Amino acid sequence: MVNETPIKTPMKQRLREFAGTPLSVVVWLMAIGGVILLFSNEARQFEYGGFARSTHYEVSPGVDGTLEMLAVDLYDQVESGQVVALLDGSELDGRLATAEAVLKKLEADLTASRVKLAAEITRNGNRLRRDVRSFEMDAQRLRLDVLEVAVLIANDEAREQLAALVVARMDALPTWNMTRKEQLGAAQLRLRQIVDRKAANKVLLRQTEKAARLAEARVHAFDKNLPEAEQGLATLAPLQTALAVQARLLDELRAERDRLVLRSPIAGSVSQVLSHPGQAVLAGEPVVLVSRTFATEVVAYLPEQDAREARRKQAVVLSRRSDPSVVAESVVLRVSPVVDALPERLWSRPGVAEYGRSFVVAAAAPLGLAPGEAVKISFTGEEGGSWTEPR
Amino acid sequence: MGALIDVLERSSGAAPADVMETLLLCALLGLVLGQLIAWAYVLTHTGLSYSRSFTQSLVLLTLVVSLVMLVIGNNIITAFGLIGALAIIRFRNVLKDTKDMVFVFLSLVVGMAIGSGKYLTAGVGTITIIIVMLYLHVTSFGTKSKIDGHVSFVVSHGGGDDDCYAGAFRRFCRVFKVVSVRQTGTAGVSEYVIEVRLRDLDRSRELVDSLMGIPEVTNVALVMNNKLSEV
Repeated sequence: MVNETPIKTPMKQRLREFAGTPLSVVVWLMAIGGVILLFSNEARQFEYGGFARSTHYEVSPGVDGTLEMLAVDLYDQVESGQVVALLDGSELDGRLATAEAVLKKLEADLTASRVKLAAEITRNGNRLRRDVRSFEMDAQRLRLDVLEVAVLIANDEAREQLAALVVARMDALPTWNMTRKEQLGAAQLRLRQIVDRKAANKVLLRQTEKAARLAEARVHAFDKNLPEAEQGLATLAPLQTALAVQARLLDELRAERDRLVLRSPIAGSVSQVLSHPGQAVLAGEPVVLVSRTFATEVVAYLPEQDAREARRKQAVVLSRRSDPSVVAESVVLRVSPVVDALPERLWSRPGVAEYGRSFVVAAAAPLGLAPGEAVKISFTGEEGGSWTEPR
Repeated sequence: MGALIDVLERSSGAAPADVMETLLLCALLGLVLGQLIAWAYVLTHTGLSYSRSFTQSLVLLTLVVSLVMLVIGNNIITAFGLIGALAIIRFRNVLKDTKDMVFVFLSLVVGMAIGSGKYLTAGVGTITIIIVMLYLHVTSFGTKSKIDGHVSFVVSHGGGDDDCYAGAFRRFCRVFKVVSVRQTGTAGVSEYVIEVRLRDLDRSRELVDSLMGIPEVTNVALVMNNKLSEV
């Protein structure tokens, strides 16, 4: 009789058999699970592409002229109000010299008037009137001195700006040798001399202005006691008018000088240099483009089939394309009314244009987006939202 | 290590996380669909020319070609380069096995990925396909035969039980099936061929001994299938 009791299958053989078809099926099912998980993950986080952008400012002159000096280079950091370029001021220097010459002429006229009045005083013999005329002459003289010193200061300021730019540029040069050191030393000395002279002139201006004010007061005090003083003052009236005209002219020259100095309107970085020293520039033509160093907005694009989805005030989540782990909440600010060609960088196939609708999203501070950086945007499905503005 | 990660990140063009996700999705979907195609092939195959290696190649080719498309992308020049390189290799070598061709193709694609600066794709793609190759090898994927061997013996029916051998088979075999019964010239003598799936492969000898112990059974022979019987 044969023993029919089944023998046991060893564990080793059981495992080997499991490694056949059953394991294949298990692995296959797991792979299906993985595919479903990845697809559902992709569907949940459907993202659109966009780019961060910042505000650009053009620095352009208000008057036509020749660019004398460019104080910044490409990608230099600039502060608000910093001088970025200087227009040629030789024409203005000529006009300032003319103003000085006119002042000299007025001085000569004044001297002539003094002589004439002195003769008249001698004829009349009126002591009080003579004093008033004398005080009037002093006051006019002091007014001329004030204008003269103001012209000197205006000239010094223009020279100081130019000398300061020369020193700054020489100091920023990377290579050093003895000649360069000497040149820098000479430029620094020149700048120091101009600064000292300007400071001394300012002190002198304050003193002269004070003396002129005192002289004016003295004239008025004596003038009250002089019944026929108008005759003498009338003689000096043309001179006074000429002085007033000259003062206005100086103000005009100062304002014009300010327009030759181009300053950065914001703190940021020089993103484009469009003109070079020696080049003639027209009024309103940009010389330098200054951009903020951080992005203020993100321009994103919806493909044509999803173009109707974007609405104002929709809450979105932003993340950097290069580092999707950092995300920040934001909100849709504006939506383009038209469907237009997407930027080439977003085309999935090079050479095949794609179309969509663009919308603007506020750049959130936590991401610290640089202008031009690629960004991913996904809609949360909620309305409204808060974000932290970059500063 | 940090520098290596930097190089991989720079080479990928897109964000590394995106590249990894795309590669993983390609690998998993390739495995799912490739395995499905291979099973369909196994089920519908008829004839004597079945090859397990070819079936495994069907799975691997799906993965390798998905890697090819990731490397080529939209670059028509790279595509022509691939065709040219493959043609040179194919016509200078005789590839007898489909699986050999898959390996050649894989090496080619990985080389192209490295050459075109897609280091992350090359690295992750190679490792993924090697893992799938090992999995196919360990599971002997595509094996069509489920039997361990054939037992042949002669039964003399001296008016006794026709099914006298069944008890021995029930003890040692999980599955057994008569595939051939031949009547010999002598009356009452039949020659059986039975395919078996053994409960314990190490105790196959005991099956033979047990059959030999039956008086009606003679000339017992066990022929085991080996791995080379199905390439």
